[in-house]
Amino acid sequence: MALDRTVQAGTLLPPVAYAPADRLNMIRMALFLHDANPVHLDRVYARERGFPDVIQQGNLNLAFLVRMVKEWAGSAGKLERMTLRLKANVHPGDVLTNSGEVLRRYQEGGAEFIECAVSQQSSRGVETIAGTATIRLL
Amino acid sequence: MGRTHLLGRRFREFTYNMTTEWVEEFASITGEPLQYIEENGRRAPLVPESACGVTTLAICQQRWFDLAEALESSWTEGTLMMGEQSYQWIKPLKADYPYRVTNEVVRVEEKQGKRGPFSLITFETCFLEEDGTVAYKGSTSFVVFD
Repeated sequence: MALDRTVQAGTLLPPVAYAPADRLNMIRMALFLHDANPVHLDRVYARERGFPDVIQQGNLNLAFLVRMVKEWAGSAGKLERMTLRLKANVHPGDVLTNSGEVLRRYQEGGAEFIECAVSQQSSRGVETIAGTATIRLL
Repeated sequence: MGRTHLLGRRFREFTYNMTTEWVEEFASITGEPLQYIEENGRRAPLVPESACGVTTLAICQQRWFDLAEALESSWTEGTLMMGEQSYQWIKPLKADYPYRVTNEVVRVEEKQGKRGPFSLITFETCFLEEDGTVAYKGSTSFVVFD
């Protein structure tokens, strides 16, 4: 269910899974970022360093979580701020499920806000990102 | 090795323009639907609170100077890692708009961890409109080991 004016502490941001991590997108991200670190591009290099495969750029993982929050807020809220921490690596084929929970609803400067805990879990069973999002109710 | 001397260090300002082509291609990776506005007789994507901002921030923290060198560390030697990141969308970001971008080290903390001493260095990036209004602000904390 999308955000609406009845939102309260405990309201859940329903889990949303996006397409599996794709190594082609990692190449595109490397070009965007001008980041030639082979750990994102070269499977042999990544394995030599103890990883099962190349590692998806953290910025792409973060972007999926931002997208989920923004789409949940829709026209009922404006995403004001997010604070996020990368916790685990994402590899090709991993499916990232993004979710959250409203922690509190409060007023500040004449406007109403909600603060949410947000999280991203990979299909490997680990939390890849944890953090908070602040949304102004419209 | 303490790094408190980095506190307050500012990097040269530059102009950054998220082109329509860039925004559309990035959105095709994340699958994010875009909104468009008509401005000056042409159609341009509007990217309010967009996930594009996440990558834009990273680009603006790394493309115009060598971040590892600035923080006296190395990605490849494992002495530099990303920590917490924070994004603040103050005004809708626009494509094809020349934002003035500033970068500054705003906090340096010296800590002790399992791997030994490290510095937690927070780097703040601001996107300014032509009149100096801050449109978007982001910060990234980097963990720097000796």
